[in-house]
Amino acid sequence: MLFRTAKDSELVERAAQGDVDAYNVLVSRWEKKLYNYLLRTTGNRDDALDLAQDAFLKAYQNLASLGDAEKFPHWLFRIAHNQACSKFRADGRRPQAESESWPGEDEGGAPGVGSATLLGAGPRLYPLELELIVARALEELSFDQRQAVLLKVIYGFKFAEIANILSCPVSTVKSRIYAGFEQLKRALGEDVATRAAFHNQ
Amino acid sequence: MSCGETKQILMDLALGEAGPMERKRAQEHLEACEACRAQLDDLNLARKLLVDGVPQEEVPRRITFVAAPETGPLGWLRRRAFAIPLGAAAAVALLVGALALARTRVTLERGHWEIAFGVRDAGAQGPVGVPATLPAAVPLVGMTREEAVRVIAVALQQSEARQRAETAALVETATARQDRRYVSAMSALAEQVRFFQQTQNILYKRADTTDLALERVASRVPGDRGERQ
Repeated sequence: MLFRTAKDSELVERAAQGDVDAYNVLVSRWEKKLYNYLLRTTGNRDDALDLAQDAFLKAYQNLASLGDAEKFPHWLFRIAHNQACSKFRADGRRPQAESESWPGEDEGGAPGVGSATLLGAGPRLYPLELELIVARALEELSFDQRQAVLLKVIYGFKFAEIANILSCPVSTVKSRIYAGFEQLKRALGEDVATRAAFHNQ
Repeated sequence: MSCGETKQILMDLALGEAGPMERKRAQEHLEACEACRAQLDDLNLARKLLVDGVPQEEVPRRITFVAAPETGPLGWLRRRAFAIPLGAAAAVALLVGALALARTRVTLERGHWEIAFGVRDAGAQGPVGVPATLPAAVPLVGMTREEAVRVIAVALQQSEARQRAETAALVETATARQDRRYVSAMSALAEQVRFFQQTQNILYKRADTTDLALERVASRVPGDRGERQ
């Protein structure tokens, strides 16, 4: 079996039978996403890495209890989210993605890589500019809104899956995402328009 | 369908949550309503900006599991690999101690002490292949104290020599095994270092372009600088 081309669900089934290599392939596919999600939840790189490792280990130990292999991604995120929450409970603080989680100073990104254009017609925004704008807009959201919006837009989970990850009703998830996304759209629109005006000067 | 009704469906469309029915109804409205088309464009742009503008950092250290056959399918994190040789060394030390104890037998029979070294039973019942340089068990009946002490001393010496040889062999095996583990741990470490260096290179390049971008921003919008930082 070629692991590289295998679907997640096939890897989950093999891993559930004790195939560690299959599980490692699965880990390599999801570690970056999970780490970045936890980084934005905890605001600390060491915590994020520890929690990601713990979540992967816990997921491996409980693979048998995962009925549907297709559910692995949001099941994994749910485990990670719960681990993060219990860690914060133990530490007696509330999860906060503070400025430390937005590594603007060392995460520039090369120009032209993943950079956005304004509706395809406007001037190019430098990735760093975009990151600063987005980080600023995200900071204005509440913690709950930010988590829900990121899970939706960046990680591509469905409303129902996000409800499962965050252990709250779908209606709550929807209202957080609608309100948060609307606010982001407004903030980004203003900022991007301002930047574009500067570029055009 | 009114613009008010379409508003939430537009959001669902941009977020990829609209069903086929909603999609169809929205499509009909969008063809007729320019304001809603612009609204949908804005939402799609916001989603794209968000996707492009949230940096995804590399994981500082790759997460890998290795199988641990002695404990079943439970994964050990590779960073704990260094702990295994220590465990093995402790196990060898315990085994050597246990052997030393198990191979010395002292019995009291009809008022006489008998001390046996090296093999389980006296005389010819010893296992094949064990050189019987000295009878394994020497009856101490009728000997003078000096003779008994001498016999015990000789037997002790031979037993110790044998144990030393066995211990040396055990240690050698354990060392060889540990060496193999050390080599595999070192190659894992080398891989980690290589990965780390690669990450650093990427970060360094990014920092470089970041400086350029910052200079550009600073030179174009001098009044904006203080507010943004």
